[in-house]
Amino acid sequence: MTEPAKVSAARAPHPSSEEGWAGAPIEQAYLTRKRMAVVLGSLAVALAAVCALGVLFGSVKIDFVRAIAQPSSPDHAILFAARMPRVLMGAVVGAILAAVGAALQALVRNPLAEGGTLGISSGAAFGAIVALVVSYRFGAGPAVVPIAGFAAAMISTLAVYRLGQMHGRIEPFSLLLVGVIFNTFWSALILLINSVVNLYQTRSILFWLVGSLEAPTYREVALVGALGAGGFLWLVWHARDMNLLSLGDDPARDLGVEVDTARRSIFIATSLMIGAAVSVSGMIGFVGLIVPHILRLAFGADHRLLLPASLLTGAAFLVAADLAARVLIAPGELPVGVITALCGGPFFIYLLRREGHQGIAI
Amino acid sequence: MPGLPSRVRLLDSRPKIRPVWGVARGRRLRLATPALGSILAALVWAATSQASPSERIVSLTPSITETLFAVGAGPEVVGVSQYCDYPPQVLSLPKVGSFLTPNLEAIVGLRPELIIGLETAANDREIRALQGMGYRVSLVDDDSLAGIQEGIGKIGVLTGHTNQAQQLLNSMRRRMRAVRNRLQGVPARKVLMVVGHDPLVAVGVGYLNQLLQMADCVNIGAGLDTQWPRLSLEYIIAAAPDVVLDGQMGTDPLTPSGFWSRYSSIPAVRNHRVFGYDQNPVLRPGPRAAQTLEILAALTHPEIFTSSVKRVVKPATTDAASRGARP
Repeated sequence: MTEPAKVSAARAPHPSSEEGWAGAPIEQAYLTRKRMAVVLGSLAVALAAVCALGVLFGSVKIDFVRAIAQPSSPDHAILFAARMPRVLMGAVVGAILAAVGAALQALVRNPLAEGGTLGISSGAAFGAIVALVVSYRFGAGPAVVPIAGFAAAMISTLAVYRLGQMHGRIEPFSLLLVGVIFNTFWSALILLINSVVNLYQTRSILFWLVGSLEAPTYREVALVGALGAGGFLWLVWHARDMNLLSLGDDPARDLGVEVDTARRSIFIATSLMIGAAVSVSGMIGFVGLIVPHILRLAFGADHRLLLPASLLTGAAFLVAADLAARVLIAPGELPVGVITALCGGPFFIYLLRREGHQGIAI
Repeated sequence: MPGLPSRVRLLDSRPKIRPVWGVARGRRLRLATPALGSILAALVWAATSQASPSERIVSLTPSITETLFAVGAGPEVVGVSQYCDYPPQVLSLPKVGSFLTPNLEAIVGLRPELIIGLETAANDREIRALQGMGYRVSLVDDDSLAGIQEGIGKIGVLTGHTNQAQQLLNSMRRRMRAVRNRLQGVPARKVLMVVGHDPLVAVGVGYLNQLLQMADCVNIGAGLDTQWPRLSLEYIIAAAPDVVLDGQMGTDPLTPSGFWSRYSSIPAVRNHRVFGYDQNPVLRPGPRAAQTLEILAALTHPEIFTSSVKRVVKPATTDAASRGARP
């Protein structure tokens, strides 16, 4: 009799009625319409401000009057052909990575979950790199690289999902472990390819590994944005399920969630989004990890708020990181993945230590 | 443990004493061999040192391989790096890894008498290991034109092909001078030369920058003081190059078309002066540097080189999937 009792005690939320999620005061854990509007409104303003900065500054100074008045001037080209699509792509990719991170952490009830640790990003990168090499050797259309990246993300997701199942049910912990192993495995395959191909192709491969927002087109932005928006709406639709799933499978089931169905549909939606993001920008790490955690600490873990807040903050974070990547060693450029990892790593450790022995709550 | 010391000695004394003559036989025919063995060894040594300084050469980079073959030491080359593909006969030679990670076992297995590598820091460990094992390792520099020429001279001396090396250097200088003479009085062109646009890695300082200067070009990638800078698109648009040379476009026939046409404010794009070049030979620092200069000059000053342009360059419109400069 004691065994089940122990298990449910371990899985139950923190019993203290004084605290809500992640140790936040109880009034913060209640989601009111007003609080939601205030939080999301201020985050949207912050995103708009960061985007404005991203457009105002770059590796070269431009004359905005001339840029708008003279369509044939270099200023116009810099603003509209180089800077704007890049800022937009940064916002779209950052939004996707952060929102997906928030959803996946709830899904597998583990603070380390994100597209990277679940092997989805590296699967996408592997597919893109294979397409790159194969198309170089045998010939294929140029569009094949992002498509292959996307397809590989899907395949990797399905494989992780299948192998993460135990006795017909999804075990969050083994799902994460399988994902981590897939991530390492894909990375090893990428390095394998890297060591056998033409020297000049290794640069392109590195590009996928580190991640970059260099030279996107508006069409790519629109395509990734559409996929991201679709997936995001799907996630928001399941926000309540995620809230219950983070209590544990049994409580969620008791409270009326069809656990396996919900998990499957969330997982597919997230891999769709990640596949789209990685197929144009490569593997940009840490955004999906730190943004949701910061927001959980600040605003609580209700996914109805957390998901849109992650969307906005992730977008702002990546646009800011990319701005740094563009201006720090101008006219040279740093890979944006380096900036996100450099900011993200120490900050994440700080969060972890600050929370003390409790660790980071989901 | 009686066998061990002789083994150790065998390794240590490499490559001066040939194992067959010096050690294995010597142990068996205890009485007669010391004298006979040493005479034979001396004869073998004398014979090899007279015929040519080195008979078994391993090259660790494509540029060194090219130089070896260009100075006539090709028949002595027994191993090349994994990226070596010129001249074509090197394709069938044993591979010893890349210049970044030479494969020690493969190198040692080829029993080289001379190993030639680059003065880069990337393969420091392996070079030191080879030197520690007693192999003769020579390093050359290929970052600058002076370094390339010095390297050709040095390889000529090392392999006993001094005259051929000198002839090669003379012909390179003659070809370069010819290009310079034809370019007399032409206006300088602002040039962006990229390895590829995916990512945008440009040619910065180094021998290619020197060649571009010789071709009367101002290289907009040279400002960063690194050899392969990653330039920002904004900077490229602002710098407004007159000519864009794109190695990805010239080497990979499947390069997505229309990358540059998005940025039509760049004069090179507007005036259809975006050209592909073949990364092999252009990105190979070595005896083909003169050919590279001819290609670069023809691409950046097509009006001067109209006759040769037809041979070397197929001008690329910015929209067509394009290639060019395949000599």
